[in-house]
Amino acid sequence: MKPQLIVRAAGALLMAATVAACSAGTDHADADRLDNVLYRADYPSYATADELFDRASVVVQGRIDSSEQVLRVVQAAPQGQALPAPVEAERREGMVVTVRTVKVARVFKGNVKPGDVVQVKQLGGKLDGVTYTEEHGVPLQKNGQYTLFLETYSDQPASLLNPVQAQYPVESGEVLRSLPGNGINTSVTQLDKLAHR
Amino acid sequence: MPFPRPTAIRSSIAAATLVAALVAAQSVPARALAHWNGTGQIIARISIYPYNYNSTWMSPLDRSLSNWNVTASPAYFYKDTLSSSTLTVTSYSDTWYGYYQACGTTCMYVRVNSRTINRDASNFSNFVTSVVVHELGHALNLAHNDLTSIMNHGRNRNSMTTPQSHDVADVNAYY
Repeated sequence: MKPQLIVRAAGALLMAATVAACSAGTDHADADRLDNVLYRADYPSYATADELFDRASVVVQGRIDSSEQVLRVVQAAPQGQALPAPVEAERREGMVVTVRTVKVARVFKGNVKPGDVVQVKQLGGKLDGVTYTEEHGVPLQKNGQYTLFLETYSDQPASLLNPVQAQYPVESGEVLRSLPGNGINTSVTQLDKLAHR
Repeated sequence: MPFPRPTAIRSSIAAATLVAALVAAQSVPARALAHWNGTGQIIARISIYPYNYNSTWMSPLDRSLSNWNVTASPAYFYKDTLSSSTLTVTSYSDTWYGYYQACGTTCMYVRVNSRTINRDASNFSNFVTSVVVHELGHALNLAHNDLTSIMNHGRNRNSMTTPQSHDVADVNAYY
């Protein structure tokens, strides 16, 4: 996907999500409103850097911008059909994500080039006084430099293939550090080789 | 807000037991019992608002409930039009297969990502069941682990479709 499309999609998402956040308001299914919500997601796990590389649509190295946006992503309502109340409440609850911008410095895979920006969403964030946290999630750090294995979409910002295995903080110039819990080690040299297979 | 463990509630009847229960609730469980936490549902008898998908999906979804219900544990999932809990299958623009979120002590949202499952499943029915049994495990307060378990991220979703002995033991330990 072209990076311009990624940015435009994120803009549209922001508008839709803002509307949803305002209209959803206090529409919680249960009487006891939660101050902290834990998201627990079941992701594919990967055994090798080759698997990560093959599955990703974009593999880039870049720096995380200092700005970020917290949005509520909701699925579109079916037209001409009223959903049962619990189903509608679930739809309007959606999922809260934090969208960060990566300024691309190096491209290993995908239709992007150095200097482009790619927007990446991660589950979780603080919205309307509620803290949403993804179990095992590791938020990308502002101004941090990373190598990221991403899946891109036409309608939303990209996602990490896996919250732990698909992000590698870059240290000392070119060293890619595996996060705790990620047994996959990789390097710029290896990714260059995979890119030129 | 963490949900109270029912065992701790029952313990509050007697003052002496209360002290013990508070100490137990605040301490880190031993390794063998460490694979649950307090973010699931307060009771193991859990209702879900009736869902309706085509037969390709309904069979493995319903089997997921049954696979918990037949275990030697308090776990029991059933459909009820009065329930606030939902099980939703949609094509989500994200990388996960399944997702669990508590919306209260007796309310949960389970989401199933048809996009990633359709892409990755070699045995579709088993894969769907494995994903949903895993998410229902979260409803029962089970946490991820690295054992032979339906809660293991690295399990073979094309073949593991039932709660494993460790999972059942964890549910019994919690409830």
